Amino acid sequence: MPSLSESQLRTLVSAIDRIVPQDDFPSASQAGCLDFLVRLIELERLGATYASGLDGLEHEASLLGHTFSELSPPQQDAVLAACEVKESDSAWLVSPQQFLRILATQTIEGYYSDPGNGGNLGAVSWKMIGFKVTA
Amino acid sequence: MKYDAIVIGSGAGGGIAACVLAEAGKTVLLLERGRQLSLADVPRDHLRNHRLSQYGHGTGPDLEGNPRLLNGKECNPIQDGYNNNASCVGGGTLVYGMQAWRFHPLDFRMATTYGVPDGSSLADWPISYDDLEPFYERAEWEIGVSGGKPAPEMPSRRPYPMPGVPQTTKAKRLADGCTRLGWAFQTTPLLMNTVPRQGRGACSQCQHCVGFACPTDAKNGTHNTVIPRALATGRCEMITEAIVSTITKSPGGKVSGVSYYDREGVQHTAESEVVVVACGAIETARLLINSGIGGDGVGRHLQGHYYAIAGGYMPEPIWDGVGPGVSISTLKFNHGNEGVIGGGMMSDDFIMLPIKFEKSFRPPGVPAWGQAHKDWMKKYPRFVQVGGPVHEIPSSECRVTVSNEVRDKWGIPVASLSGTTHPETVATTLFLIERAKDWLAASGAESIHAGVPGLGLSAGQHQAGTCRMGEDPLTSVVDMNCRVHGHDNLFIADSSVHVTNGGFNPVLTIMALAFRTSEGIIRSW
Ligand SMILES: Cc1cc2nc3c(=O)[nH]c(=O)nc-3n(C[C@H](O)[C@H](O)[C@H](O)COP(=O)(O)OP(=O)(O)OC[C@H]3O[C@@H](n4cnc5c(N)ncnc54)[C@H](O)[C@@H]3O)c2cc1C
Repeated sequence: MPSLSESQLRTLVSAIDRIVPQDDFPSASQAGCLDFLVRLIELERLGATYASGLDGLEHEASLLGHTFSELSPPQQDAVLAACEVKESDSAWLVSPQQFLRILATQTIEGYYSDPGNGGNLGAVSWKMIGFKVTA
Repeated sequence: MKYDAIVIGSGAGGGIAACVLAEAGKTVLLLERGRQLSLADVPRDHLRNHRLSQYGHGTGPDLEGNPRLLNGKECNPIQDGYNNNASCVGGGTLVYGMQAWRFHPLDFRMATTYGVPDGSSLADWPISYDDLEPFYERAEWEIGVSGGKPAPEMPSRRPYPMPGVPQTTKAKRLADGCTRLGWAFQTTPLLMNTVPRQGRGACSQCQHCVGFACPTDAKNGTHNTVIPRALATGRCEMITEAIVSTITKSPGGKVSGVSYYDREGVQHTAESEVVVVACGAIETARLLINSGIGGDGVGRHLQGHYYAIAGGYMPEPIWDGVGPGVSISTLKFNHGNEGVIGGGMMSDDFIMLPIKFEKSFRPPGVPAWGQAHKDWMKKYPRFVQVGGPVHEIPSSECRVTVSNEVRDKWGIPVASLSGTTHPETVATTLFLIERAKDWLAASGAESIHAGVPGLGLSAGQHQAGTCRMGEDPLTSVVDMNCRVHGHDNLFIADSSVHVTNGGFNPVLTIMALAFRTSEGIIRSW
């Protein structure tokens, strides 16, 4: 059974694309970070944490009358930034702060680690920063 | 069958002991709890290696069934409190960074040079630099070191057997900085083939060196030098995935062999005339305590290295991708530093994995995610860091004991670590961080920053000191020949015997001592 629902995966894609947004170089999901995270969540048994955290993000978005994916990028950033400093919230099953830390850390791990891990397809982040493997 | 010698652990020290004893005609059983790993067993996974063990490491110990405790809290091998080193044939030398430093003559005379600060267990070694010098030379030639002109501070009779690594773009800028400051500098000596040697290739200057296995087998460890030599004698039998649980004592103060578990979990005993322990400073202490050997001194003075590091950014990219990446060092601040005790060598660093850069060097003011974070990552090719290991001022309260409750998967009581270094270690680190900043500034770096060290336990990859060498059995565990006091035929050949751990990476000293100890065993056989 997949640990995240379709709608949770949609929220996840929107959130990680604010962790590493698109500019001249791809966003997190464009570089493969969704697959990276799905695999990592299973390996590290983080399904419950992610499910609760993503539901928490949807709760915050619903207070603004939308789903998280419908919010504008600046609104999404504001939601994520507010969660980053909130230790606990009665509507959340995990600490918002802790979830944000895990989400940001692991998305960035996917984006900047080796392509074999799946979140840095075509070594695109390495091309961006100038890290080359020559031997 | 009874062996002449059993060597426990096949790392830096154990590999050398097995080789010297086997080549001298002795039959040797070499027991290693890790596996024999090939290049393919150590993938270039940036999240699972010995430089960044975020979710694992290919090189042991296995994450399940091998816990330790830090201050009473259980941790697994990739958690910080574990203070891990690799566990495999070659031990740390399969994946190490190969920096090949002799200790400074004054590193052996710390108490005489500086006095003993209150609450510290700083002491002189019972042997001097001159006693060890011939064995440093053996390590440099038989394991294989490349370098420039040897440092005048550590007199040597022979040059290095191989030329030094080329200076990277970054190192040239740092050399300019040294020149501006009037600091002497040198090429970093490395246990690495810069030219083909001993039937193996030269470094291919790849970007995955420290923490990984070498694609051209140019990284000189015990796994590709002395251990093959030991096996080639036909007198050394190596058993991997064999963990020794106890050393067997016999009447009259001697030991008679060991008890170990094989990979199937079956317990065996083996007998020998001599036992040499080389499990690394934490596991050697654990094994002695579990065997009821050595008294209260075993496990004390646990130490490693604090690192004094500063980072900054050059105005233009200086990343040239030439591995291993470390190529310039200064010994300007190893001793003679106003107001602090000891000091340490400083170098540039190995090629930095991008994700390691992200985790270690995000400066204050850069957010943890978002566009500003991504913009900061683009400064990676301009980044430069310098720093190095700080001579630790040890404390007898920083120690290894064994747990009464927690056991590993074989049922052996696990190592329990506790205590902190002495505050003087932090003072020296703070001093050296300022010198690292000076170096970067003089080299043209901007936005220079550094972390703030606190009081803690630093054993880690440079762990040492838990079976101190000394003349007095009341204050030390082994004598100056590294024979365990009160046990005629039991020796230690790893970093445990270090009285202090130098202001340098420790492995060449471990190797030199292992040559000296093993030759001593043969001489007195
Ligand atoms: C990533 C990395 C980079 C490093 N870079 C440098 C460097 O640049 N320069 C430097 O000087 N040092 C460096 N080091 C440190 C260096 O590798 C260690 O100082 C050195 O290997 C320690 O030698 P040792 O003989 O004390 O123990 P180890 O090399 O740790 O060997 C101990 C062996 O004993 C085995 N063992 C333990 N318990 C048992 C048991 N009960 N039964 C059987 N076997 C057992 C272990 O599996 C291990 O293989 C680095 C280490 C790492 C991991």
